[in-house]
Amino acid sequence: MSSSDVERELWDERELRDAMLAATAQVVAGPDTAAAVRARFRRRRRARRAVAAAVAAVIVVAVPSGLVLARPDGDPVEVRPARPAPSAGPGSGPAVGPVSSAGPTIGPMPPATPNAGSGRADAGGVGVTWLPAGVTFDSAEVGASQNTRGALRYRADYVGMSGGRRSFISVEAQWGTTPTLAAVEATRRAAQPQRTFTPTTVRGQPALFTRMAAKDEFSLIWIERDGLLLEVAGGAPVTTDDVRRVAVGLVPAGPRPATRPAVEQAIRQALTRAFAAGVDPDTALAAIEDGRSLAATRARYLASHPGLARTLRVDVHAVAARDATHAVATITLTFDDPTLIGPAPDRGDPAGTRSYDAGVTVVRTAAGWQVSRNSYCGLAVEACSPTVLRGGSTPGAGRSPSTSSAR
Amino acid sequence: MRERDERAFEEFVAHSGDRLLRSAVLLVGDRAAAEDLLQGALERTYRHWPRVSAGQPEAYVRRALVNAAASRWRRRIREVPWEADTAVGQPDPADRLVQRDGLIRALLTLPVRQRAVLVLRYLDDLPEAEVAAALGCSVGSVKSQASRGLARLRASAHLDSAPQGDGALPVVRRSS
Repeated sequence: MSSSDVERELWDERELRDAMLAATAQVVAGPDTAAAVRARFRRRRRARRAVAAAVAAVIVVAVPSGLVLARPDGDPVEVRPARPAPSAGPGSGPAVGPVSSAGPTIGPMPPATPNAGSGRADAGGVGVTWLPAGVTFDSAEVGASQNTRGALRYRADYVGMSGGRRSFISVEAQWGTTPTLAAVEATRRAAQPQRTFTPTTVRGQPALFTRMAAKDEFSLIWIERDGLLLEVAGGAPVTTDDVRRVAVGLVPAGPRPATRPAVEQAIRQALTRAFAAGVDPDTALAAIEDGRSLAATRARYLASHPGLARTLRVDVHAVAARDATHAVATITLTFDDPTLIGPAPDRGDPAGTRSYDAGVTVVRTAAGWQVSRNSYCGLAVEACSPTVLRGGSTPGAGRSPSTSSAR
Repeated sequence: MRERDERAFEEFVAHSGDRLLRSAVLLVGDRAAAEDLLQGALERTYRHWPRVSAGQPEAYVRRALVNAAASRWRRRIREVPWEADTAVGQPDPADRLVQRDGLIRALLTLPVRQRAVLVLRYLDDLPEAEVAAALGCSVGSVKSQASRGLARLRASAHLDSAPQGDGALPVVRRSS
């Protein structure tokens, strides 16, 4: 490396360090962090104990002969003692139904354990009834689909350690308009050219078995029914058999988790007020987290783009609560303003009326439900100051049509 | 947990909480998610505190943070395209903020582990060996990931600002 290269590298490191320090200068952990951690630990310990006790009770009753559970909102679900699953590979033959005591036995399998002690037994309303031994619930998330307009993706991650290696299983339920499997494959191929796809079946449905050989990760994707796309993924040391077994053990009988009507209405109202044309500035800013601080830049932005200010329309497709103070919504923004340039729209004419699909985070503050500052700024960058990363709460998952071509 | 351990855990959080939260913010690009991530990592630390505190608790938490960030929902945040360069010369403070903001946005597009290397190495100023320990990889891997990460940031044009011999300030990208 020449001295100029070294000098350049040192300069870059300094620039990066300065930028990171500046971006996080205002970030401080609250004084009650330790207390919050302790409370969280105790909450989870109680939940773990409750789930373990419940599972133990169910096993005692159910193991000898199986048990039929009546669900209030779906078909009866048969829970049977777990047995080794059939091979997960694409050549495993005909459709595989629910785990059956008559299922073929294959090589050594980890002990079959119900989803005990995980503290979380579902992914977006889809029950998870079996996990490999030692694998427990880690985290759950809900977000907007990047490829299917208006759809919401719920994901639950389960992790464990096996032989000193970290293993994972993830279960993802996409609720909303269902793409075809061919469309799913085309999208995934475009994003991950090295992933391979092989037709198979899961739970009696056509499915895709995908594999990323380099990472030893694989997944099963199938359309469970209209409006529900499911994917179970895992990576070594989790085996393909484990992944299939989790898949066949899913209980997707229920509907998508509902948001309380009053909460959903408040969130929809905040989204409309924050984005739609014709809303008076005070009302719009009150619908955005820390909106008052954006007053001047937002006004300049709208004045620079009168077409946007006049025609912007927001369609809210779906709303899902993450927790008591956070929710995610899928929206479409439609407008007609040739002074704005940006990425290719999802629909419409770049020079005329066009639409962008986006995911937006909504937060509950003392002022009620508001579009998160980062989501708003992710969609309307010019309406925000460059310090948006400081003190913000959550980023938007959309793309912005906010770059100006006006001079 | 014994009273003495409880106090030690509180002191540890008070001493390193800000630093860890800053790292988490840059790992996930999202304040609320960062706080949740940090609480999760601290919860695991708390659960095993007697054992963890005998070693290097901060390294333990960092490792938990990076692992949790890597397993998080893989959002694909579509980046806002910047316009072509329209100005060259001495930047004013606002320009510099814009440039730094762009750099952070570019950082958030890097793969999680590569981003983690840059955050631990340059925000937290950890020696390469400690970064390697936190990430569970070799020092060589840390070196190569740091180098690739910087190269990618440079390629994103937010680090195209190396001094021109006379110490000139960076070329600035303007957004309007």
